[in-house]
Amino acid sequence: MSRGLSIALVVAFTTVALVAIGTVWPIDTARMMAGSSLASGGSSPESAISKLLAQIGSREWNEAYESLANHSEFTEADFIRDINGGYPSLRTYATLSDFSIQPLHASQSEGLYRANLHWSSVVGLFQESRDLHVVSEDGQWRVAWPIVIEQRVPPQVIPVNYLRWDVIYRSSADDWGAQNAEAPHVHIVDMRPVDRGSGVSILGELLDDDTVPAFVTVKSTLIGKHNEILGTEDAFDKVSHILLPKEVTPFRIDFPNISLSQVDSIRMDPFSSLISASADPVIAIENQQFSGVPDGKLTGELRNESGEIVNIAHVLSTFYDNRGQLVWVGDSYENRALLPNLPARFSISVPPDIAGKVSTFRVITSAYSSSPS
Amino acid sequence: MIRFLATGSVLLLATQALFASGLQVHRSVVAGQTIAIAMEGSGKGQLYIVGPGGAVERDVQLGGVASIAPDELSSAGHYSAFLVSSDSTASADFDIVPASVPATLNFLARPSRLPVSLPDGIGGVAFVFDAYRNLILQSVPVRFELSLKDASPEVRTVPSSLGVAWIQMNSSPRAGKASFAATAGDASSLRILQEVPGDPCQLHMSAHAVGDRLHVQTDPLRDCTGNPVADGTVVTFTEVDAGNRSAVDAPLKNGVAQADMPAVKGAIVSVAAGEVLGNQLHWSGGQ
Repeated sequence: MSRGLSIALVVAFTTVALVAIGTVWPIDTARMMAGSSLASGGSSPESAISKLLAQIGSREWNEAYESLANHSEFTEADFIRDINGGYPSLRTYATLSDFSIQPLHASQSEGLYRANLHWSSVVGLFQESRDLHVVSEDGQWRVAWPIVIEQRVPPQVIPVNYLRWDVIYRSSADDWGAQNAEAPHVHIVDMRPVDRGSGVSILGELLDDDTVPAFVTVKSTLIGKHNEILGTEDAFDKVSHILLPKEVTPFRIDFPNISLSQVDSIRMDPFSSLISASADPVIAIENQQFSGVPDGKLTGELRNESGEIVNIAHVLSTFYDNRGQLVWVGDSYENRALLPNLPARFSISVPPDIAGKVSTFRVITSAYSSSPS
Repeated sequence: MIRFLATGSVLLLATQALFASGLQVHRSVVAGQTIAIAMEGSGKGQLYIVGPGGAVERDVQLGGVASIAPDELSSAGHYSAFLVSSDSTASADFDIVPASVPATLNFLARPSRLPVSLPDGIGGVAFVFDAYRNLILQSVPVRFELSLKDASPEVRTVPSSLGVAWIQMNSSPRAGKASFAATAGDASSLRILQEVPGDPCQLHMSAHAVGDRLHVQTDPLRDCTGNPVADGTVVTFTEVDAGNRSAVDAPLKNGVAQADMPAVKGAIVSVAAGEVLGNQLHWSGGQ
C-alpha cells in the first residue's frame, strides 16, 4: 500500500515538474499549438516571429496583420491571400504544422531571420522559406512581412475548343446480352524494382493504349521465396490517375521495410476504368533542368495554356540512366493555383545516390480543378 | 428463371398420348398452348403437376378434362402429373417443348470498341428464344449484319445449333460507329460497336513565332488506312536547347495538336505521338 502511494506521488510530482518546464520553456511548435496567448509578445526578434507564426498557424489573421511593422503597405486581404492563396489551392486547406527560425543577421534595432514553414496538406508536407525582417519599435520587436502579391488574371473571356468524353453505362433495363462500354486498354510498358535500403520501390510506366480516357491504378504484390505474400501496395499518388489516349504515366510503389533479397517474384495488377474526362487544361512544362549531384533537383516552370484555373497541379517525372533504364520516379505538387499563362516554378528532388545515375528524364503533369467551366 | 405468356388457344400437337392409371395427357405439348388432361373415373380428386417451370394444384372432377392455361405452365421441360382421389393415385409424364417461331433474341457482341481492319475482331453470339423465353433447340437461320454509315453492309447467315448461333467478322477499314444486328424470323437485336482509328501513320508539324512564343502545330493526323486519328490522342512536343528542355503534352482536337513553347533561337523541336516519331525543326528565329 505504502509502495503504491510512493509510486503515485512520484508520478504526480514528475508530471507537475514536466508541465512547469514545458510552460516556462516551450518549444516553437508547442508555442504555436498553444496559440498566441502564450507567446512572449515580441520582447525579442525570435519571440516576435514565433508569435506571428503562431497567429498564422491558428488563423488569427487580424491580430497577425495588426502586429506587422509594415502593415500599412498592404491590406489584410493581401496578407491572407499571400498565405492562403488567392484561388483555392493546396495551401488553402493546409495547416502550419511546424516552423523553425534561423538568424541571418541581427543588430540592436533590426534583424533578418529565415523562417522555414512546414505546411501539412492532404498530400503530405510541403515546405516554404520566408526571410523576415524584424525591427525594434518602442522596445517591442515587430516583423515586416515580405508580402508577395499573387499575380491575378485580368477579367476576360478565353475561348476554349473543349474536348470532353462522357460515358453511358449499361443499365438494369438493358437485356442481359447488352454489352457494357468496354474498359480502356492499358498496359505496363516498363517496370523495374529497386532496393532502397529502407525498402523496395517498384518503378514503372503505364500506357493508355486506347482511344478513350482511362482512370488507372496500379497495384503490386511482392511474393517471397516460399510463395508467401510479403506485401501488397498501390501507387497511391505516385501516378497520374487520368490518362488520355496514348498518354504514359510513370508510377512508383513503395514497400517499406522489405529487402529485394526477400523477393522471389512480383505480381503487377494494372486496373483501368472508363471515366468522364476533359482534354483540358494543357500544361506546358518549360525550362526543365536537372542539376545532377549533389543537389539532385529537377526544376522547371509550369505554364497553363488553357483558360481554366488549375487549383492543384501535380508534377511527375521519370528518370532514366544512360542506357534508358528507369532509375527513379519523383513528384511534387504546386501549392498555389496555376493561372492561365502565368508560369509557376516547380522542383522535384531525387535521392543523392540516384542523382548521379540520371541521364535523361520525362515530365508529365496532372491537373485538378474544383470548378471546371 | 424464364417466364412465359399464355395464348389461350387449345391445340394438341403431340403425336402420342399417354395413358396411365386413369390419367391421359399428350406426351408433348408446344409451349403457349393449353394442356388438356383427361381423367377417368368418378368423384372428386386433386390434380398435381410438377416441373421445371412451377407446380399446379387443382381440385378436379374425375371423368372430365382438366385444362391448364399457358400462363400457368409454359416453361419447356419435363413434367409429371399426379391424380389423387380417395381410393387411388394415378400419374403421367409429359414434356412442354419450345415453339418453333423465334420471338426474341439475346445478342452478345464483343468487343464494344476495337481498331479498324482487325481480322475476326468482332464476335457475335445470338440466343434464339420463343415467345415464352424457351430456348429454341431446333435449328433456325440467324442473319448477322454489320453496317457502317455510307458503306455496304457485310451480311452472313448462320444456322443456330441447340439455340445458339455465332459468328466472327472483320472490323471494317473505316472508323466509326458500326451497327451490328442479329435477326431470326421477326426477332432482331441491335448492338453498336465503335471501330476506332489506329496509331498515326505519319506525323508532321510546323512552327511559327507568335510574339515571344513559338506556336507549333501538327498537320491533321491520320492512321495508315486514312482515318483521322482519335481526338484526345496525346501528342508530345519537345524543345531542347543547350540543356534546357520544354515539353507539352497536347491532345488532338479536330485532328490537330497545337501548343505554345518558348521561342529560343537554336532550339530543336521534335514531335511524337505514342511510338510514332515526327519531324524535327531547328528554330533559327525565322517564320
